Amino acid sequence: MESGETTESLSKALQPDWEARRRGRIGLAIPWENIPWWGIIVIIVGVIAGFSALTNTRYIDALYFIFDLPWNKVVVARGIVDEDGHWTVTVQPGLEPGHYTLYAQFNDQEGNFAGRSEAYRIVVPEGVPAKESPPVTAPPQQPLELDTSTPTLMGDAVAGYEVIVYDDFSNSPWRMLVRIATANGVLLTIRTTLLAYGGALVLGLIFGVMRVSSRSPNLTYHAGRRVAIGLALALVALAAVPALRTLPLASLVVLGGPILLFLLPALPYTISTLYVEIVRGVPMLVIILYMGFAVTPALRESTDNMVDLRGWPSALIGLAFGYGAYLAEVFRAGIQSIPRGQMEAARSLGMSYMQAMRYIILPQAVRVVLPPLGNDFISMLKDSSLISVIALPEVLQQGRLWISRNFRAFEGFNSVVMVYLVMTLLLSLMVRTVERRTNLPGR
Amino acid sequence: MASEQPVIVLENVHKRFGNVHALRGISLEVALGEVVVVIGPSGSGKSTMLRCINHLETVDSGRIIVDGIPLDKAQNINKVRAEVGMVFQLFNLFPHLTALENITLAQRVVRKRSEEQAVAIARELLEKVGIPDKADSYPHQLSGGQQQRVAIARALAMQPKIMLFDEPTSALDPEMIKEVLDVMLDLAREGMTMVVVSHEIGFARAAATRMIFMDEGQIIEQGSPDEIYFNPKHERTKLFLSKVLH
Repeated sequence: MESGETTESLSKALQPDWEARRRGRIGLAIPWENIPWWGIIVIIVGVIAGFSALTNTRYIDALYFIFDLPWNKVVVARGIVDEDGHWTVTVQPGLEPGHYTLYAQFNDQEGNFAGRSEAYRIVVPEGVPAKESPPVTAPPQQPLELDTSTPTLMGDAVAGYEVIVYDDFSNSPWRMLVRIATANGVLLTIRTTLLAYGGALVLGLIFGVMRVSSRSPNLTYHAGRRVAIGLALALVALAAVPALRTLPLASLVVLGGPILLFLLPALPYTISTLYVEIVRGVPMLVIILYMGFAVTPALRESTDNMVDLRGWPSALIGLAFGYGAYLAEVFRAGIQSIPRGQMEAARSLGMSYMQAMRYIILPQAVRVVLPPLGNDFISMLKDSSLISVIALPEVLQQGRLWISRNFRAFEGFNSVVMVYLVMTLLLSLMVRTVERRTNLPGR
Repeated sequence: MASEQPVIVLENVHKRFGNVHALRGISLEVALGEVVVVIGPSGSGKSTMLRCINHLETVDSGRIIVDGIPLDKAQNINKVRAEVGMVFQLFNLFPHLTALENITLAQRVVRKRSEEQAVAIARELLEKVGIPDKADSYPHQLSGGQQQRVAIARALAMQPKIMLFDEPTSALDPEMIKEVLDVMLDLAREGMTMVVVSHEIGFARAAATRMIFMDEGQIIEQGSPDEIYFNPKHERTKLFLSKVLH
């Protein structure tokens, strides 16, 4: 065979078989591998934008609500323009000391945007009370220093319009950041996912490494020394904590310390296996409800409000704790997939077990487990919707709130679905990129 | 050339894997500077014995003393392992590190050498094993023979007193065996104490001070290479050699 012919047949072999593609998957006969990653994003955004624009403004309204936009505006007062065309609204509750740029926005009877006033620039000094004071009748030329933290604004507009006074802080980056950090909806979902996944990674790594430790360690090795240390620790605990000195507790401590230390070599495997098997067997929803409605109140009660995990912290801990079990299994599988010879070679060079783990096994294992880790990351993003059961305003909860106000289930849930799809598809693109970049050389 | 002081002592070592009695009372002394070549059919316990010397397997009974340190306390194991270099049949290079990093990692982590010092030693050793230009290659970019030579350099970087070779050439293509054996021959000439599990007759005759034939977990016969190869006394040795030598 001539070389030219070979190259041609090779390039032919590398081409997708369009006919087979059409025969096999009629609906999905799109050449995905030829579309660049940004092309897919453009398609997604285009589909969403086009869909919302073509159907009706309800989608925009729902997405606004779910995203918790805009981040540089906070509504501070509402009112109605009276029959004479005047409006007067008082900011309630009071403003913190600082500079403010307030605008009055007018909506018509159908709720559509009808116009906006000039900027009312005001300064609220330190230590002013929340009292009645003469209204600000027109947008002042210079920033106006007030003697109240609850200013009243006045103006003229079309009778019957709604007035919404909002505080615009687009010129204050710090307040923007705070607003983004405290935003509901999408941002809450993203924050929850990132933090809970970080926690789950740490838990998974620790318990995964513990899971591969010896199943049947040598308990007799240095047993005497361990028991003696356990007894010493128990005595120190007795001396330090007066509450332990009742007879039943004291005997428990004195017996338990040495027993625990005697079992020390067996504890890593036992504890990690218990954790994985128990937590993996309980539904995520149950874990979150348990954290939210059982553990958190009990902790608050028993520590006199010192440990207060209500709301977001309890949800974060629940998610991280639940996913840690899955990730521990992923890490265990990854570590066990590295050939035994690697550990032996490292140990034969004089490295300790932990050194070999850190420098040889884990760097290879992490590369192996990246695809399942990415998979669990995406699952975590989706399961973050479960925290809506303890009334946290993330994407699903915001969507349901919007639906309960507008009674438009299709628009509301479609918006929720779109938001989740955009996030998960972007995430799987990222995961794919990371996998490609960190491939083990030669694999 | 062998001095009288033994650096490896095995006393009546037994090792079981479940029902398999892999080592049945092995007693062996290796003196400083000796090159011991171990042969025997597969499953005869050659590799197990080697791995016991390095404590990669724990023994069930008997004593192993390496360089005067008995191998029974956990604290001694890492100390002993740093003095005993081991070369594996399947190289076991670290695939996520370059050849140079493979050699420098343990120096930095175990011997606490500085980066520059470790790199200098690594480059010197790569020169010695004949592949100075492959320092920045990853293991998968090297041929089997080159990988095994990097593995030897990696073990030598710890400046061990003893080198153990577990069938270092049996995973190699025939054309690459020589380049590895040449490195091992050089080592033997420099007076390194070596225990080699290998069926390479050329190497055994050129370098070995003693040969051991093992079968079914026991040492059947030992002697000089020429004695074992051309004048074996034991029936089992004769039978084995008749299959190996053509």
